[in-house]
Amino acid sequence: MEDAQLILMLVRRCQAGDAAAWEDIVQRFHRRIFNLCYRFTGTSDDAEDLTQEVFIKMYKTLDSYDPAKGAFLTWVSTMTRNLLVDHFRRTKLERLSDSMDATPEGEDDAPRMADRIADKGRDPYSQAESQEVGVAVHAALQKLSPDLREAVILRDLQDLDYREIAIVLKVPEGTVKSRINRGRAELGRVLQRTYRQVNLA
Amino acid sequence: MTNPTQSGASYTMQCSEFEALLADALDGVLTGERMAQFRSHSSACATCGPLFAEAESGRKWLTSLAEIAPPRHLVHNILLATSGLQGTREQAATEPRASFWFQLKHALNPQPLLTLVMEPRFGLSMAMAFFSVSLAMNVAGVKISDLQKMDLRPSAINRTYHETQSRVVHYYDNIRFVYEVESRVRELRKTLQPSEPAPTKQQNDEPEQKQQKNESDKNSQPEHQQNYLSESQRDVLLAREHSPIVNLEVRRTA
Repeated sequence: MEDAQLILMLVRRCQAGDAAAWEDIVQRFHRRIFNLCYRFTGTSDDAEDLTQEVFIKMYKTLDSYDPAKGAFLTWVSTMTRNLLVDHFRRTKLERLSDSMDATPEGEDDAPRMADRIADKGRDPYSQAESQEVGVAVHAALQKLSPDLREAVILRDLQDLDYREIAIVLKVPEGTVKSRINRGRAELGRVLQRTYRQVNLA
Repeated sequence: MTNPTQSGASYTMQCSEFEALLADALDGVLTGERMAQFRSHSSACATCGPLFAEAESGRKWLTSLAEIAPPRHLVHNILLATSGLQGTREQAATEPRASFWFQLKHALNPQPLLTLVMEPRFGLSMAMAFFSVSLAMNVAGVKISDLQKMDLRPSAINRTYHETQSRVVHYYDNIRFVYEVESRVRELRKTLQPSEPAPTKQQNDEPEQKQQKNESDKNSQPEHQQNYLSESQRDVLLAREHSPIVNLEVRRTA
């Protein structure tokens, strides 16, 4: 609550033209926005570009932020999500051609991921292993449909509550819960299959 | 769970409800009897059991994901990208604090060209030019009122030009005539110089000389004789016109 008030104060100062306040806002939120973009797009370059885009848009529209309508974090998350959706639509054609190129392996992603994990992560307790697990989970996340992916990212990685996610995604809370359940289950399924393959190997 | 019929009834009822409660159960929000019902359904149901396991493992995988550190230059790039916008925002914030003179000038001269002309150095230059022109006009005797009366139509200017030109030509011709006359007079004076006792007096008599010149031609008499006649001779000369004898006498005395 105190944190929210501090952010609100920063926003007010920034709206009044305080450059230091704006820098503070960038410092506070860039990590969070970058991670949201990275988990959704899957690549660091896209995430970087999109994070920059989010902040430029945020700076331009900061005056339109109304605290009465919701928390600043929700406002920022909504803006980020909208830009992510725009980016997803924009790059749809590229992704379609990519998936056509990857057709032989695209039907079943498990062997490829299993190979990767089996080759590199021999010691299950090492640091490298946990990194590889992270890579596998990140890769599995990209296999989810955008609707499910954004829901689980906002819930399990960004720690937003259902009400906030419902505002960001502009859908009812029941739909949010359903998407999160399906997203988690699908991710679990994909990863279980992956590790079964790893164990067999 | 203890009562099979109740368990069966709850099975058919709770499949949709199970899904609705799944998120809360995984978040640890679901407690007490509700949680017990949920678990019993999870263990009994062939569809919901695996769903719960998959969702739980999926959630664990997701929460195991560490936060990625963004590139170091990201903040710098963001601030750089927004600094241009920041400049305009700062300018907008400081604009109302501009001086009264600046505001007045801005209000009076919204056009950039006028603003340029309104600079102090240009103002001084123009003032100097005005003063020098007015000073030159004053010295030349030109009055603003005269200029106002002047007709500035092209035809009028043309006529004025020709009038002025003809006036200059006439003036020059007159001057030439005067000089000619003067040079003639000088020549005359030179010819008269030897028999002239008092040149100063002669100068005063010059106009009379010119008038008498024609008369002397008529009388076919030398000029110098006519000019230097005594009073008594002049009386005789007047009388000569009336008497030819007297005329002869005069000749003899001369």
